[in-house]
Amino acid sequence: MNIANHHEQAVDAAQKIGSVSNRYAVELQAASVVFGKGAEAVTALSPTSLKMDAGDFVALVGPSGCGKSTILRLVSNLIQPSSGVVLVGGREAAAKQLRIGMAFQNPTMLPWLTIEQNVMMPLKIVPPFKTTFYKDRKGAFRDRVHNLLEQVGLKDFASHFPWQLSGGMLQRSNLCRALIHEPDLLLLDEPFGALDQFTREELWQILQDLYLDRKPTVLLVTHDLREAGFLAKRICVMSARPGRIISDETVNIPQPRDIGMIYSSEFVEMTQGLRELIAQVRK
Amino acid sequence: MTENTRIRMMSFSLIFGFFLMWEVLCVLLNVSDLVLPRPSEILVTLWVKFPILLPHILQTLYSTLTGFVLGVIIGTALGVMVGTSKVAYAVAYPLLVGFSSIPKVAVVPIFVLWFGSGTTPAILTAMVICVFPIVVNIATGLATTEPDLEDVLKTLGASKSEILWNVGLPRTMPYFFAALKVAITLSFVGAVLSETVASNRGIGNVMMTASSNFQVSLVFAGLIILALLGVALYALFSWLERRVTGWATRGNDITIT
Amino acid sequence: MKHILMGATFALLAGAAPTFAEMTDIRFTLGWKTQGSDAPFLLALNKGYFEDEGLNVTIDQGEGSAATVTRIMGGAYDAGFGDINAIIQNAAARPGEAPVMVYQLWNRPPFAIVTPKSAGIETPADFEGKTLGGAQGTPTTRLFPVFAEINGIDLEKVAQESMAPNLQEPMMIRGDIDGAFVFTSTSWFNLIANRQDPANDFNWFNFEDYGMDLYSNGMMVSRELLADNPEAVAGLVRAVNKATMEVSANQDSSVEAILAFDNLIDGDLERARLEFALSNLMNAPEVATIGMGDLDDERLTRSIAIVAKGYDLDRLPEASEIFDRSFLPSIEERTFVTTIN
Repeated sequence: MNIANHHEQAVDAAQKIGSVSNRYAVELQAASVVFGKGAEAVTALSPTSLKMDAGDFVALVGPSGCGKSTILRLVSNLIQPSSGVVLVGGREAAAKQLRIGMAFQNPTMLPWLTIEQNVMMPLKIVPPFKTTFYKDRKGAFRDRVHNLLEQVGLKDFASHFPWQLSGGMLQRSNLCRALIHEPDLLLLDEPFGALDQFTREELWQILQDLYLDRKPTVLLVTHDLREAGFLAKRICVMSARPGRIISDETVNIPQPRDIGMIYSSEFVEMTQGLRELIAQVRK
Repeated sequence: MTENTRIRMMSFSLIFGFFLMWEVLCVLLNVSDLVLPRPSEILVTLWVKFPILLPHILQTLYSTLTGFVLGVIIGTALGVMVGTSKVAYAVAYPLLVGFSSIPKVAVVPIFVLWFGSGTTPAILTAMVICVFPIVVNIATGLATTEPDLEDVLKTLGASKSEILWNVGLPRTMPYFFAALKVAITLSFVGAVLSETVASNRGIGNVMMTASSNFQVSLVFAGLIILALLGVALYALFSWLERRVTGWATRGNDITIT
Repeated sequence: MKHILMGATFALLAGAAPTFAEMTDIRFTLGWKTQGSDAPFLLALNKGYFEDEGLNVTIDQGEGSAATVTRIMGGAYDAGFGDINAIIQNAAARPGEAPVMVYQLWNRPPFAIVTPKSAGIETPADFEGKTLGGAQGTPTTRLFPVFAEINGIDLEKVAQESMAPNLQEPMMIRGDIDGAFVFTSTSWFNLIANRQDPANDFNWFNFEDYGMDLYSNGMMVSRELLADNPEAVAGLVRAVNKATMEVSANQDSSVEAILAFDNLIDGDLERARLEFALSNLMNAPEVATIGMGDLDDERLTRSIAIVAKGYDLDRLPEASEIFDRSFLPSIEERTFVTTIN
């Protein structure tokens, strides 16, 4: 099959079918990713479909290597699908239609910049902030950065350098950097994976507050079921490699959620159910 | 006293001791001043002849710095070109290595043949000799930029040049400044080399003239000046490196956990 | 504002234009590091004689009297002070390309072999069995085979060593070599700088005393300059001649001019060297009849034969290829009288 043709056909079809009101914030239509060719080909993601409305908070869970991160990379346009279509804001080529904020597990702050300068970086790159960057960076933008840092408890560390901060603090900065440019879509790839339990619970609450404050569309990839249950509206479970989505459950607990509830029996039951599902697919 | 001060004092003592030993040995072994002048004699020559030597010192510095600046500009441009393109990297490398392997001593007479003696071959030699380390360092710095750092900007939709400007180049600064230290020293050597072959001014020229006239004390005075200038230039760029790229060497400051 | 600036620039250029239009740029090379014997050129520069002739002359130190010829042929220089024998050598191989001598200054050769009296060399025959040192490519070194032939020395029996020019005297003094191939005007003073007595402790075998009355250094110009701008050549010759006459009469202004060009020189040393040149290199008997700057064609033809032999040349260039006297001022203006003051 000629993949290029297939792409064009799918996009045409999607554009004909979808009107503005039907446009999803994120949509995968049987998107798959295959690395390499012929005998050495490795399927990272089987043809997978997913739909997300604006303001939705979806958590992707699944065993190692199932392709969760691959989905994120597709949506953020870091890689292209080998087949199928990835639509963000109704169009291909993300980041031009919707503003995207992304946070990886490794905070990757630029070491030669202060925390403040790091968090401000997206404003230098992303339109429309880009055009007034040099005028506003010492005034309006700076205030914006400081407000955000204050929200995550880092107000006093704006002039510090990354090497002076702990892992948890860097990850908080990372979140700020992912949100400073008011993205419509927030992509999170196991952002709290390297942190201890207390720090994680702290950061979950911070993320929930930020989410409820700004209501971006969020796609969270995580291996922590409690994290998924606490934060997300929907939890999608993926099968083992080459993965696809096998379950899509809504979490019916109203937001904002209290951190204490993760120990409630209702919550524990839900996560146990997920756990069993994943254990099955891992075999 | 602080550790730093102690180390400085020991350094000075070592240098002073070296000259003292030199002086004593010359006196004891009755060494002719045509063979090896005593430090005290050299100092006197330096003092007396300084007004005459000053224009020559300035000339050497001028040639060195001009050649250095030109070398940095060309080296940086080439380094960026070679470092951002894998193809360019593979294609250009053998040629660059070839050029840099040619001993500059052989190149100077050719420059003199083309441009006449004086400042032009000095600047050209200084430039040519310092280009390679800069190209290599910048290309390496750029080529080894961690993809994670680049991804930060890629996900925001940054163009290739925006990534280069905001991530690639700052990330390469430690490499660049390390190269500058080396390059300034090489430029200096190149300029003096050219002056010894053909020029009317400069410390290299002073040493050759003094040598032909058997003013050995002046030859050594020239050597001392060269050593001092070399150290001063290196120190200047070391300081600059620390100022600009302190982030890469991370002091022993506190880390908050 | 822009108009005012443009107007001012034009006015400035217009005012300067006549000067620029007149002045010809001449790149001039000396025969070695600055020496007292370069006085004629440095005085002409210092006193503005070149400027008076409409010439903007820049002078650079040289790498050797033979190298002057190469520098001019290479195109980096238009004129210089160098060895006529190197012209002969290049004219044989590249007729029409070698520079042309237009003002002969050193009409007695400085080529000599110097030996310390302690080496016991009193006659040419004594060279056999000894070691002599010379710098590669210098005229004295290259012409030694001719010297040997004329004076009946068996070359095989003379050991020769190569070294940089400024190592010759120290090595001789140390006894590493028994003698050296030198220029008298340079070596005499090198020996003094090395605290030796050149007059009493050394034997000098001047080539002119041993059958080789060659010419030596003078002012030469490139073929391009001769063809494109003969007026400039005439101007050069006039200026240098004027300076030479002045230098021979009075050496005070010379030292000043030399110091102005190169502040590293030792004034007294170079003055002594200038006096040496005036009294030993520029005062051949023929100068009384033909004046300074000119030379004797017959003697030149003889030189060409000697050089052809020594350098193993393919052909004998004509004297007219080597020297051009058409730019010389009248003989009255070139009367050479030395007064050492």
